Amino acid sequence: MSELKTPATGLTVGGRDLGRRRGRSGSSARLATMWTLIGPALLVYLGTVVASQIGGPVAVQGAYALVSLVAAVGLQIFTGTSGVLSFGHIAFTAVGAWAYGLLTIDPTLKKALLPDLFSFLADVHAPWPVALAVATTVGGFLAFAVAPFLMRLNGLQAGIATFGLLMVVGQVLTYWSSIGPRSGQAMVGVPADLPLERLVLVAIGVIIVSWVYQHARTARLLRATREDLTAAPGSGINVTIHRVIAFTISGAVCGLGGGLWAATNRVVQSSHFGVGMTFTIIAILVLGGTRSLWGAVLGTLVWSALDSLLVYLQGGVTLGDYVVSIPEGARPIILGATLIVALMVRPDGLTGGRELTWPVQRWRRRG
Amino acid sequence: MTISDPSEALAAVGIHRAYSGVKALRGVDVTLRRGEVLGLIGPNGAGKSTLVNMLTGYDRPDEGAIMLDGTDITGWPAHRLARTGVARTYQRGHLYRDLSVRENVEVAALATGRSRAEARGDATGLLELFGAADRSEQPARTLPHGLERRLGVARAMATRPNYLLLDEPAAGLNEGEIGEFGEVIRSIAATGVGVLLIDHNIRLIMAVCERIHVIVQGRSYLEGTPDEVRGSQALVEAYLGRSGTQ
Repeated sequence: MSELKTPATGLTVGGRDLGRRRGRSGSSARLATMWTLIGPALLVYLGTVVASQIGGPVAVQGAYALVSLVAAVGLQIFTGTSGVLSFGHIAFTAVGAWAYGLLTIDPTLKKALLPDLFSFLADVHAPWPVALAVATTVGGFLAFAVAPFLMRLNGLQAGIATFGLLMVVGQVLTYWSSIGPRSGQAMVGVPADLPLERLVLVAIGVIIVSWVYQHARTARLLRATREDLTAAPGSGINVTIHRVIAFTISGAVCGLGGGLWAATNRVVQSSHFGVGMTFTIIAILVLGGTRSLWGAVLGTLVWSALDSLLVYLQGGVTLGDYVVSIPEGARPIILGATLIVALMVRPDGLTGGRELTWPVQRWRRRG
Repeated sequence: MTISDPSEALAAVGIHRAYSGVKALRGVDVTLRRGEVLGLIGPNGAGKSTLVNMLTGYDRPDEGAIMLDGTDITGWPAHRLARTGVARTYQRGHLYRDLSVRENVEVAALATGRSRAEARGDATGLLELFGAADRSEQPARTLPHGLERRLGVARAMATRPNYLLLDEPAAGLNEGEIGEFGEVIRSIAATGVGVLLIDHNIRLIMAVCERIHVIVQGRSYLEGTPDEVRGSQALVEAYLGRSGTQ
């Protein structure tokens, strides 16, 4: 087949310089763009400092919140950009946690606890940065391997197909004792290598990765496919390729989240990575607004703060002469009701799916 | 009008296509040359949009071939055709509704091989040309109907096409807008782009097309200059007297 000529140059308007962007001046636009990265990162950092200062159970909750944040940002990279649902991302988190556990648990302990392991897995031992890198790679690789099959589907079919992946992975991790504990038992003894100050750095790193992705050409083209799947190919966009890229990056970030989860929880068990975790992460993202990084960050913050508050109230809080408390078991009811009300009031999430705007400009406009 | 190499054309050759037994196209032969405006008319359900889908890779024929500048491109996916110089608009707009007007145009430029700076420049120029420059930062869904139609064409032009297929681009426009639109179509063709124009507004078709191709019930029915087609008794019969006042 002969090679076709590339299309001719398009129209021009009267020889004017058309390369200049209209509207806001360069430096203020750049500042506004940078703020969409700095704002969320700063908030996460400050939130972590506060949690760490309060200490005790709040610091523990803060650590889990950072893990959720990484998973939510990971899911946002795919679902937010492509508009395709995924109920399967926790599968990537699960394999990430598995990889991290297998690499960091002391080999002597591993041999006793996990007697059926492949010998290379029984002997291997790696420091936490290597284990996190492997968790990321494994998550990304699994996503890349299944993407060609899943990425042809749209809407609810895509969501359910990804759920199928979660079922398969869950079953394999539960019963394949050559790569983990015997039938559904726990992997214990994951060392506590990731205190809050390290977790927060990883979380900020993930925010940077997501931000860089959002500004890449592939993300811009994928957002167009989200807006109109019919028109996108007509604009020259290969929908499948850009979905595969997003799905792979997203899977890698969720794999990293699994590594963080293993280090934070220190016990890894396949039953952790099921429908409960799946829907918690989706709820966080939908609450914040699926279409923006800021949505993932704010959603995690609000959800985790509310959850911590409720845990606190369950224990009873003394305010002067009164003891305020909520009954045991009321926490999920309040969380669920909050989610319903929040989505009724703000169907596109708390952020409306927009990125954080530079506050100075807003003040100026008001003034 | 530019005189172009006859092999430089987008052509449908003997196209047949049936959907669950119902024959939508049964023998269509159309050739769109660079630099010309070709009108495609026919009654509702004649197969006009189906033919556009065939020519742009949105669907493939059961029989027949699609030729682009002498190359058989039957079965190529739509995104590949868009990158090879075949652009289209849609009857129902299909804009990227929540993206800005500018981004609608820029993504099409980016997806067809432009650098960021080139895409930005092309978008600025096209938005200027199509009268949407002052709304470039708004979401596309906020545009009035007339601008929506024009943005669809601007987005298609951002792929730097050699062939542009417009599926009822003037639907819902008022007389003044239709007049302007005709001018835009002619200026696009003047740059060497072959334009296929589907529309029910016969006055627009007669005003801007050099040739008109009529399809009826999935078949190529007749083709000629506006004068030839206007004088054809067969056309009136094809429309079953519908067109008396148009």
